[in-house]
Amino acid sequence: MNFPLTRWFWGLLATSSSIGILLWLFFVQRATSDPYGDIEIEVVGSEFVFYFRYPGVDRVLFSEDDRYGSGTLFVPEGANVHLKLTSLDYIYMMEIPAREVYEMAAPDLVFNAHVQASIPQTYDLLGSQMCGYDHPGLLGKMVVQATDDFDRTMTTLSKQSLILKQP
Amino acid sequence: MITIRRTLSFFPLWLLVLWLWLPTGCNRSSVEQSSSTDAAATTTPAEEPSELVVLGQVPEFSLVDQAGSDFNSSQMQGKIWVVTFVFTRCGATCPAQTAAFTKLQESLKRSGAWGHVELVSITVDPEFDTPEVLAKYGKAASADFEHWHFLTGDRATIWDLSKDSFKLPVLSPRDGDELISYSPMFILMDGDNQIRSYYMGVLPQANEKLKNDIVTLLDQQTPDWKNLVRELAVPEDVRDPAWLSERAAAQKESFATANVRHDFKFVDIQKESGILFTDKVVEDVKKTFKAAHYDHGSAVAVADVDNDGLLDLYFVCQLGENELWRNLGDGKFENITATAGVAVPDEVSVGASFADINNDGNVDLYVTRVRAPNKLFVGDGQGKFEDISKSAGVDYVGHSSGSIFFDYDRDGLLDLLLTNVGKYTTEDRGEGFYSAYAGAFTGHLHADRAEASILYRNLGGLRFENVNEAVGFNDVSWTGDATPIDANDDGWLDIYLLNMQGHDEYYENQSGKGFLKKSREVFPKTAWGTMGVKVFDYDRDGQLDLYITDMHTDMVHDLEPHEEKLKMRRNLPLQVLATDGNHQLGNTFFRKRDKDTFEEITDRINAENYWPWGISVGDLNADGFEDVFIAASMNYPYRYGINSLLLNDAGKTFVDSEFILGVEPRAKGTAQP
Repeated sequence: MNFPLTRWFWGLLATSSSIGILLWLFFVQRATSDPYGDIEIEVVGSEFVFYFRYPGVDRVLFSEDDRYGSGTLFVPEGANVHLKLTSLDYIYMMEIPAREVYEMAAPDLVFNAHVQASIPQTYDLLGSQMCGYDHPGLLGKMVVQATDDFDRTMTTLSKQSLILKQP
Repeated sequence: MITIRRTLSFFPLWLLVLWLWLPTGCNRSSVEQSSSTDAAATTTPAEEPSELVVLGQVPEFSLVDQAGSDFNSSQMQGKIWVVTFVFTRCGATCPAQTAAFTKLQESLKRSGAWGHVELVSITVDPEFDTPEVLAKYGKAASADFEHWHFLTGDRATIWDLSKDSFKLPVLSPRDGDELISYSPMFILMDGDNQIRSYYMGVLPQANEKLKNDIVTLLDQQTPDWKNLVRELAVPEDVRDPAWLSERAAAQKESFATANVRHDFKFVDIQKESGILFTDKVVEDVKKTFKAAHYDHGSAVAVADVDNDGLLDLYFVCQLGENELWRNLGDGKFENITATAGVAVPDEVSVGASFADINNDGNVDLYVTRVRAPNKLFVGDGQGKFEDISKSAGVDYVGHSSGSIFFDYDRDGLLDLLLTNVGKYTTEDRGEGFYSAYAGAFTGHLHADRAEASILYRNLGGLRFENVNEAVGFNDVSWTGDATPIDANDDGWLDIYLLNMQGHDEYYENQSGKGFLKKSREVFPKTAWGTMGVKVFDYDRDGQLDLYITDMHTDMVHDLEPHEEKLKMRRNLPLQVLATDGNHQLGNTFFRKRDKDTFEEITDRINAENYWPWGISVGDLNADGFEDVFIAASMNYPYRYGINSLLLNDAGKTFVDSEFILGVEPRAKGTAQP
């Protein structure tokens, strides 16, 4: 490939500009990529599985860019996590023993639970059907992630609800 | 939000685009292509909800099952089936695959889908896995061979089946004694032998997805499959739990040093008695196992309806007719429901009480129901009854449960306290009943579902009047029962009212003119979720004590059989309790010490048990101290729980006696109904 001199000039200029932009992103983004203060996450019990709905990029729950998961509850480190629990069918108990979270998810009701997220680590998340029996699908994890990791995890989650059977 | 790491990952791509875009090298279509690739990278196919599309057709095949019988895939026609390839010598994923199948089998049995859905495990090591080996392997996995097939056959046939038909790789170097490489996937097949989906069988989440997909397919293929379920299979460990015999032996051993009289036994004579009544329950109880108030069951009432000196039995039934069985003596009974006129065939009946409401010496009968008028029958003393519900003014329609007759105003006539639970049903109709809310046990958190209990004053002349307002009795507890008790020794009967979704309540009788709520003053710490109550003098000190059973804390977490006498380790969440959480976690025995003074002594006198309901009291061994029988345990799929028979050891303690006295194990020597 034969590049003329002007092309080398513009190429070097573009490259150096890009590096500059990258450095700007590195420092400015780090300064503005705020950690989460408060975050709301919806927990829905359905067919013996817990489903989670997260705020998307706008950090506002119940908006168009929300993300959906199940089994593993992801939370950003240090955040005040406000869980809003409900159910589409039965009454479920949800528990994160290590963080003393113990709450119920019931149809037609929303129960609020709070957990102060720690540094990144993983906790057991237990569940059972009240006045029913244990289901393996109700057992999962709560994973506390660094803010960047949490944001990246969110981008990998579904943009649609995973709940198969809507009421 | 764009992160630094994500930005860095795009940087080489950005430079490449820049260089390609520069003058003389610019290619617009390249940029568009790159952008679309990037966009595609943010959403993977796995994120999209999978559709149960047809992925292929499996040609008919023949193999041999674990019994050595021919197995042809055509016998799966019309069924949904799940296939996996394993071999018994495998130490890798096969044990997890088979364990997952065992769990799937149990789940399908619980849902009633077993038989509509079949499981197939095909060996990839046929030289070793003979039918006999597979039978042993399947038995160890608790396989129900009726619908779980273990197949073997010619190696070439199986290899072709795996690779060509099910599209799963299988490899083995040269001969069958060497390491076999195979796929641990589960394959979902429909009724036309078509492949509908694949699952990573060793992952719990994949198995949950599989279960959901099975139901989806079943709903599509056999929409009324739930209606075709006649009886759910009861697992072996529920039919005949091993710990029952251990418990019996331990109880027998403990009686070697017991002083309480026990030189008698109970024998089940239902068959000889001629009583043919069987409890018919709603689908919410027997099929869908919905956690709702229907699973509290129904009552039996006892009285001499024909004044022949023998106690007769009135059985209450959720569906169909209640039945009145006349005592003929010598342990024989006859059904006189039709002539007595007390069948109450429509809608769900819950409870019943006999009482003489007009002091004519003949017992009358009150029957409570769900969303149908409660019934009051006046008896003629000859075994016949007349329905006077409407004219008497006690034909309340709601979710009624207990009916307690007592004379609160001491006018010589029995008044009626009707306890109402609360609205636990929806507008959906099942077969003969209103379906319950799935979240019925949080009904107390919905103010609009509350139903007040009613105190009816007996006006005489077979008429009653609701006096709630007149006497200041306003109670919206979710209550199934109550009892009169003169707690303050003033000669006027007070009310101790159970609450199955909250603290119990206590109302002090103000000389027959009103009731004053004094719950926390007299009983600062009651149980939460109570089901049965009885007032009796446990230790013959002249003071009437209170024995209350608490069922609802027993359902917070599983209790193993050896833990049944322990109090629950934890509360329900406070938001659900809707109280301060200061309550007794289990049965409560209040020993009365003095006027308005009760001492809680439950554990000290061995009054705890597991999953209790109603209490009966009587001096079974004729030693002068009242003994107790507690109907206990919960509907399948909960584990078997024992009824409790507590012999009173001279007012010092209760002694567990249900095995010694022949009450447990129940009829047929098994837990199976």
